[in-house]
Amino acid sequence: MYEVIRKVHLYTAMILLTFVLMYFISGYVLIHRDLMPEGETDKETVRLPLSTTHVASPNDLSGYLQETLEIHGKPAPPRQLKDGRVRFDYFRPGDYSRVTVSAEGDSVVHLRELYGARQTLIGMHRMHNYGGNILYQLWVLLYDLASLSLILFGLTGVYMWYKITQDVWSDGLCLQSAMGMQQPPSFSWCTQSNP
Amino acid sequence: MRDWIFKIHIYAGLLCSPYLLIFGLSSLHFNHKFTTPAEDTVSWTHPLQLDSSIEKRQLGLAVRDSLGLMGWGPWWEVRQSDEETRVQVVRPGKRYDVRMPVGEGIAYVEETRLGYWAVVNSLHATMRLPNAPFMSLWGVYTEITTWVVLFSAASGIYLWTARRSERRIGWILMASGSGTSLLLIIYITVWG
Repeated sequence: MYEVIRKVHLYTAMILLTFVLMYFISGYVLIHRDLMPEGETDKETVRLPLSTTHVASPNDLSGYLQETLEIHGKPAPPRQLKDGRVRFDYFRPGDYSRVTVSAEGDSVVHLRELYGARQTLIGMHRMHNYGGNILYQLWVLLYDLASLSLILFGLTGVYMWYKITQDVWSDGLCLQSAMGMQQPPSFSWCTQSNP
Repeated sequence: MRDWIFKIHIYAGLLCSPYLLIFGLSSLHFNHKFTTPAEDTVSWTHPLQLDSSIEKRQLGLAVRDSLGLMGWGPWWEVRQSDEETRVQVVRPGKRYDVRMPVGEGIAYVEETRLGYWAVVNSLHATMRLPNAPFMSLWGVYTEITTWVVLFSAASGIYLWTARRSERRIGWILMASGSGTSLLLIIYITVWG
């Protein structure tokens, strides 16, 4: 059982190493904002005449806008504003676009913000929720797996420590009682190279 | 040397395992919203005289300190009219909506208890909580855990290299899992 748990611990770490590290590094940048310079944000707002009345559903419109305006990123669910306009948000680390379609459906306002390195890292940390194309779905799946792996590392780590100390202490006590030795138990058996 | 690294790996991991559990659960909760926040409210009043010279942006903090609450008093939640002033104080798991009618000298507080999951979520990388000295320890724990995770990743790989029988499977898993993840991160960030 110990060997199975050890392998699960090791293999999970190897598969998810990059994502777990990415979350801890980007999280560290998030909580220590003075660690990296803010960096400049390039903002650009463009108003365009664009008829959107031929697109029926808001979700289709989201895809249409993304394609027509060549917008990158994962689309968020559309938001209907009180004055009749519809707002579409798209996000990927370091790049945010907001498109507001007029109530008449004849023009759009496209705001695009490009962030520096720090905000890009923070953006990686904050990309939650399923949605967007398959690559974004995969990202969020890996996010879920990385979260689950933290729980798994915690639990399997405690299990392995428990088994090791149990065995080591019992071995150590056996040795001491049998040989009268006063040496502390050693972990060397569990770290030695196997052939 | 390897023996020492293994000991640090296991004991540092042991120290941080509760944090990893909370971190993992709260990360999952960010993604899936297991529950909506509870809305249990309790109302109470407290005598309160506010100095009229306090700036609007500082009102939330002043009310928090006067009422002996811990948490943040966000300036964007301050509402002032001729009849009353309203502020909000928030802390992990609780929200205080404070209403102060002009001339009464009393704060009417509606305390909303948001439930267990809200607390777990708030513990996700919280470094400090104003007026709560012990919460700074959580910030220290966050800091330690981050470094332990980075160390554990490096030491885990170091310890794995000693196991010749697992080298091939290790490389395959690292290349397929972590390598693909790295490519995905680069692709989404640059071309996504």
